Amino acid sequence: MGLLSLSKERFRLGRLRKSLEKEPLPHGIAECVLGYLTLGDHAAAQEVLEFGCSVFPDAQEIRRLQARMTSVEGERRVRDAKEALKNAPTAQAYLELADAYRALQRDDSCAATLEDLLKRHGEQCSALVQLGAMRLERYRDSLKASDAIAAKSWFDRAALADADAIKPHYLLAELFALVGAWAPARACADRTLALAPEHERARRLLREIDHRQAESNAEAGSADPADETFESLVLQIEIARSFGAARNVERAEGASITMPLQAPTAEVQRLRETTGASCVVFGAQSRPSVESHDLVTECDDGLRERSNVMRDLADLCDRAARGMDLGAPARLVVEGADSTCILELKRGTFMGVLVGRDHDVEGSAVATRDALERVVRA
Amino acid sequence: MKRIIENLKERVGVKGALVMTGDGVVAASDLGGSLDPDSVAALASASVLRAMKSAAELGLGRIQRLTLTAAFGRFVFVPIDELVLVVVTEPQLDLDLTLLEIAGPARQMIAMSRLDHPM
Repeated sequence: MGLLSLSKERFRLGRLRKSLEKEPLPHGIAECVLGYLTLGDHAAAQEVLEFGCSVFPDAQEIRRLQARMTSVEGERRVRDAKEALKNAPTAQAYLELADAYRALQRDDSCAATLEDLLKRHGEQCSALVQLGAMRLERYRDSLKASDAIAAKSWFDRAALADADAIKPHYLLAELFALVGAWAPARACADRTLALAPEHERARRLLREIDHRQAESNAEAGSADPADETFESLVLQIEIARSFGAARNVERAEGASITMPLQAPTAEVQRLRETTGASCVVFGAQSRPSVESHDLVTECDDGLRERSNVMRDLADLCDRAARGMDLGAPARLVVEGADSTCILELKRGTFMGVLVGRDHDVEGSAVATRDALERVVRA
Repeated sequence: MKRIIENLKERVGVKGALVMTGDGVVAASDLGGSLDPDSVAALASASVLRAMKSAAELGLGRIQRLTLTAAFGRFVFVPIDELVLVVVTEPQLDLDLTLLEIAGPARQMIAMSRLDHPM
């Protein structure tokens, strides 16, 4: 854009802004914000957006713009943090850059920054804890042994770097409890409480560990994990997850139900009503789980065939995402000329809906994701 | 085509884009160095073909767009006649906005494609 066009555009936006102050319209505000963003004038864009939020707090367009601005702001924060780090590579500057990446959910860049910090400044407890926390978060979704083992290693190093730090012990306790390693979980929770007797979350975790251990012991035919190492427990969970077996997944979830994928009928029907979908399917990605636990819930005739197609699509999504190094797949939307298929994936299960072409895809996808979350977490 | 890709890359949240033929041959690409265009095209070609078959089985009609969102990124595939436009974006951005950003360049490509192969 030349200088003349720039000044013309700025003049147009100024007039638009004035007219919006007299007669506010959501799409006009959106146009004005986008215009200022294109010109690189974030301050003006922010002002117009704030005005839009005050006048139309519930407008979809305004909310979308807010999300976009947050992302733009995040990028700017990253740029500033990078600049600060270039000028003075202090530990604080590294931590600020890592925080900026984290806010944008760019965990890989965040981890790389923290690792750079460790290389340059030696063992830093807060960086080690953050690295461990990210792997722990990833483990909750992936249930992959490598994530759990890496998280434990970071927390162990953090505890060594600062013996008085509370967080590494507490997070270790959470991690051990998550995989059903009760004895070390209790030991870490006790250590947390010894360092901070007022730590309410550690106290709650300790109660939860007692409760779940009692349940686990009462479960008929269940192996006692007391003799098993942490590594063997997480490997068992990963193998169980890949075969869609429910018991160990449940152990990792910490849920009190006997079958995490049981009775999704109500959720499926509710989703069908809220989205107006012509068909809703809930199932497990791998066929053995479906056959053994009958996870597909039918709503209309001939759905079995469509559910198989959706499961194939879910598998395709999984392979494509992992093949392109995108990590765990979360959603696949196939928009056709007549209707749209939305598939949400989580922990080896999927929820698929078929909606008409004129439906709100984002809204239906969000409702589907929420339904799947509720079913899986039950 | 290169200009369309450059234009796409300037949009907020777009990390890269690629144009390929239906059988996975890259026509133009700028994926920012983090991804290998040939591998992406090979996987994308297989995925789009499989998705087209599934779409027919599900009665969705002709595929207009395919969006794959995962933990570390989002891929949007737009089949345009014999070509497929692949756009890589940030996963956390609002999907509707991302699609709006892509719609313009996709329309340009459709127009170009029609010029190359008049009906």
